[in-house]
Amino acid sequence: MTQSIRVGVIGCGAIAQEHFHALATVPQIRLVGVCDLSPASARYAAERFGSDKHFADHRQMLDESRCDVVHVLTHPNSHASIVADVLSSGAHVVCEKPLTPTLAQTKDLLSLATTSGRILIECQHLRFDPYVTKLHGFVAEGTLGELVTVEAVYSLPLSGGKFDDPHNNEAVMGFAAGPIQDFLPHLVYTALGCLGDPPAIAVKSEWRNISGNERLVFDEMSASVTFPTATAFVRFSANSAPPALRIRLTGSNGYAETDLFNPFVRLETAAGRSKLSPILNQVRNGSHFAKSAATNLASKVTGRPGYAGLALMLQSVYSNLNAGLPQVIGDRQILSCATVVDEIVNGAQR
Amino acid sequence: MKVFVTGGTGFLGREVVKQLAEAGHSMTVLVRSASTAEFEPVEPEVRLVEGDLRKPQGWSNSVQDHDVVVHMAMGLGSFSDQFATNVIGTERLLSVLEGYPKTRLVHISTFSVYDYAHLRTGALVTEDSALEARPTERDAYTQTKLFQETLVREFAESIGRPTMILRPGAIFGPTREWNYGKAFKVFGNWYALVSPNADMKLVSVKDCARAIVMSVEAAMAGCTTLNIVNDSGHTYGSLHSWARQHGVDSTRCVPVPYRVMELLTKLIELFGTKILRKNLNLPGFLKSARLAAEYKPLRYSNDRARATLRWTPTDQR
Repeated sequence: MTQSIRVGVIGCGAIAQEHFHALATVPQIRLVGVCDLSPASARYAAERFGSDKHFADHRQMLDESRCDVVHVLTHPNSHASIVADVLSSGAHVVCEKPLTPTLAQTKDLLSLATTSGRILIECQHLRFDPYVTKLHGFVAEGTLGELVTVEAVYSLPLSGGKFDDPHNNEAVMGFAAGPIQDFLPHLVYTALGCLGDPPAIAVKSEWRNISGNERLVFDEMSASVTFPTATAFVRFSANSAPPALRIRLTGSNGYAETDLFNPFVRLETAAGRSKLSPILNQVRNGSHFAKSAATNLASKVTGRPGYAGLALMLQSVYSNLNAGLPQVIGDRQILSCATVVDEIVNGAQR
Repeated sequence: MKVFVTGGTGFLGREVVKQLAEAGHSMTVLVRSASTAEFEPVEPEVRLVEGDLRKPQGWSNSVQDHDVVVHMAMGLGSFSDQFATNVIGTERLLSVLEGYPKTRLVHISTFSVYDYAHLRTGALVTEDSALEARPTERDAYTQTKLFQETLVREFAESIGRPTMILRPGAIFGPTREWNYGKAFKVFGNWYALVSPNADMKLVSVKDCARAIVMSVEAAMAGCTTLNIVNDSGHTYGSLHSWARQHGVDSTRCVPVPYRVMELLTKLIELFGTKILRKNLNLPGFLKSARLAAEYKPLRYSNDRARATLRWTPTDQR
């Protein structure tokens, strides 16, 4: 009988709830320890999700629980030191994005993981979102022709919520580009993933604050990332509603788009030889929309909308770990994302 | 007495601060922002301290020399937001209270902590009724308030701190009328009146605040739990009739017996577990545990509050 992989979790806040639900779908793992600076949070997580033990000190957990893999889900400024502790304990790491707030720190951590002979994975779960992988499929099959542009646009109203709370001193509030910086990795790795994670030639970004809400620092961000044969456009708007994360790929033969918060897939391809192509496209789109509406409703009723990719990501991570296979999110993917994020952030003048 | 108040700016909190001031108590009220805390001029003995319940370094010294803490702060919104205030905030408050051994605690819990699904129709809910054993089948409010009450009880019992845990029913008052008993809109001016003969376990904001003031003034010993609720007999149907008679609600209602809704929810859950093999995320009244918590015809006892505090509900609709 195969022995279960011993899993520990450090940080039992909001994102940890998603990791716990996703971990519940992964076979042959055992939650051996959970840890949070709030003992009540750790205890609740242990009781709710069936962990052997709970801790308030991550070093104690690493000493006692003999974890094979540890999820680091604390605030980004604490990742570097906690990940280093986990690596030195001999465990692999799954760390929430951003791995660290700067490219330099990210490079250091990846080097440390290599030296330790352990795997360090940044949680880039939207790469595994079923609608994103559907878009990847169109690219791989050549349905869109040569990819020309990738657009990733995040609309999320930030005013009036926790970012407006004068008592909120979360690490993201102190980021160079403000709280939007915390969302940037999702946009960047999703865009890069559609292109196969090539190195960027140039990055330009524009940051604005049009609402006048100084706590947000910036509330609009627009960036273009140039690659040899394609361009990615990533945008974040804290002033537009409703929440949406739209991905649109445009190729030499058509375009495809989706919205991960309210999923659908739209595919339009250039008219072929058949005179019926425009009609066939309409029929195909109609059936896609109907199917998406049903799937969307089903995922809202039976799943955890927005986090479908997280369960799939963890299933892949643990399955590859068991089989000794390379991970889908490797150093190349982590570094290409961190490099572009760093350059976009450099364009922000506080 | 000197009273330290959390949650003093909320619907219940404002009334509690008002009544504590009228009773001659001085208060320190923890507020997130002093500029947005609205109190009536009747309260000269109110001192505001700005801070976040989860960050006691900003306010913990203010608890010193207070006779009682009234803990009403409540988180709203997502599970995480509710957990942050109801659980982590309470955990921090209790750790501060450990340093002030003479300060007693009046904690505001809720009727939502009871296990309604396993009670027989018509049963009497007392303070000794079983607590929810499967909170994940309920909402974030029940999950976090239940765990919060556990923390408070463990704190009180482990160090023998005099503590009063009050479980108010559905608090009503101006601007909060619980939709006059209606469950959901069916069509046009017609609404569903689910379980019209079920007791709404209401309590008015004034009566509830009075129970809190009486608890502050009571000689506490050990950890006491009290239901704060009207006498039984005030149902969804009677509230809607009252609203129509008093001209504050002109809607028409279709009565839907509890048994019909219960059957519907059981069938949906059976479909989810047997056919889809998943737990379904459905609106509250379509989940049997949440339907039972709100609409199962039960009776509610306030005998212990009457006996312990000599409290009687006066505003019964």
